[in-house]
Amino acid sequence: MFNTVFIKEEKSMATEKEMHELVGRAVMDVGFRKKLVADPKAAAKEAGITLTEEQLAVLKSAEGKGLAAVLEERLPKSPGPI
Amino acid sequence: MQYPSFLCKPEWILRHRSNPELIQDKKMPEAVQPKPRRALHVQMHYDPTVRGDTYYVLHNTDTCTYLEIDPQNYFLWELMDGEHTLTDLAMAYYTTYGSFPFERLDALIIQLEKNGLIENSPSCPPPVQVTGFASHLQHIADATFQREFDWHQADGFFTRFYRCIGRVFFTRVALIGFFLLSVIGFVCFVLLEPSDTFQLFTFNESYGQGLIILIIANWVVLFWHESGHGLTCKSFGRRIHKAGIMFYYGMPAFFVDVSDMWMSGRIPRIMVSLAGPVVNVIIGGVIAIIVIMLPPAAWTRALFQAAYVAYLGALLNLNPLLELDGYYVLMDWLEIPQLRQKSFEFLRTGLLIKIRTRSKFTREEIIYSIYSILAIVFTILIVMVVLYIWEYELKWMVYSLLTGQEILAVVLLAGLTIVAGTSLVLGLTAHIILFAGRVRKRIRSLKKGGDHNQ
Repeated sequence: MFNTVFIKEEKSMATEKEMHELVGRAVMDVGFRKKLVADPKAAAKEAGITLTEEQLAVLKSAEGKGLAAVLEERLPKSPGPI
Repeated sequence: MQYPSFLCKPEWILRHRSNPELIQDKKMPEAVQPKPRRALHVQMHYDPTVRGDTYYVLHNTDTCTYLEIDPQNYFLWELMDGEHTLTDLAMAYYTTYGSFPFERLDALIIQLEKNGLIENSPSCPPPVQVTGFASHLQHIADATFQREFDWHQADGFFTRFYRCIGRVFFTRVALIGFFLLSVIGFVCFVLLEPSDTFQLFTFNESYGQGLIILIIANWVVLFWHESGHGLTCKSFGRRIHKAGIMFYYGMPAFFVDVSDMWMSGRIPRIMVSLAGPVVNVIIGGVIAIIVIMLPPAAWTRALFQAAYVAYLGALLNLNPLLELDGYYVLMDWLEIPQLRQKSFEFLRTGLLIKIRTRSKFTREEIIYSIYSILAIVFTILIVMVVLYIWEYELKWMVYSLLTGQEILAVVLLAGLTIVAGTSLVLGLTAHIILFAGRVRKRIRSLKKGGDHNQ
């Protein structure tokens, strides 16, 4: 299911399971997320995970907010002083 | 650990157990995560724009809410099946789009939850309802410019109305007939216009009778105007959530809630918005044709006044600078929902910075700038027109009423003034009291800060 960047089981890079852990922590812990996006290498090291340059770049490029806007009520009205 | 803002209750996480295999792994406490599930009774509308963008509209039929999301958020929404954790969503998103949606996911879940579009919600408890004087005051202040008196059986009424009579209006023959009536009628109206002698507010030199004719004509036209919106909405098979009477800036107004048109395309939405003014033009045209065919008499003059009211209503409603039909047409034509709100927001926060830094304006920013500035100019113009009408028409009417014997007209005018004035005065007073309270609080906190520093 996931991109090949994370599925190789090499010692020098995070496995899919490790990435899952890292992402899971970032999803649930805003403080850790900030650290991870600002300095993925240090944050991953703190979690005992080694990331490749490619993985570091992906984590740094985390997205901002997307579009999720409430649509206004459509209330055609006919005002008149009388 | 700092939880995302949509997770106000950490214990919620513990209730929603995730993949048991992962839970056994002590390294992965995050695995015990929420698994959001799409709410039942949610409809989706796919809305491609003419500029090539794509949006999706999610509609909860129970709460009557509409949320517009981009395709990436729709991708996440589709995965919310109660089986996938937030981590699963983030990883799947990465696989498809090549980046992680941490902030996107937070913002999306907040909006989905607010609008009742997900179940199993890791929701914050609802805010504690404040009662007492302050809440009453806030309630009055909120209703200053718009206070609705809803009728929630409106959909049944319009459905029956459409099935029995309304659908005939949408046949090709009827539409051609309406077009011809409108054109011929308008020509008749122009030919009839007695510009020098005509006075909108008087009939037989009586303001009382003039007012009664205006009230009756206006209410008949308003009923058909709103029915035009309602029936056109039904012709596209959409629901009418409510209808009724509201006070809009102190003025009584009919309204029909056709928000369900968000689930239709851009052209049907524009057609529903235009239906009201079109009805005004048809009514005005039909009356003008009748008047021109009959010999001049007192009652044909009254009919002419009714036609005048219908055309005036169409013009007023087509103005896009007020939140009336013309605004909805412009908003759909430009494909910018909440155009008015966004324009004023940009005027307040972005325009000066853009000018100062001499940055390039985007298409949207140009539209926001033009719209907000025109709206302000228009408001100033309206004030000037009101002063003009007061000087040349209303002042004499009030003077005539106060000195004359027209009890009926006095009662009507006093009634209208009380209805319109009371809500505005009450609302504005509430706003002033609340504003004063906020200023007092701010001064107190500043003083406290000063004392603390000393």
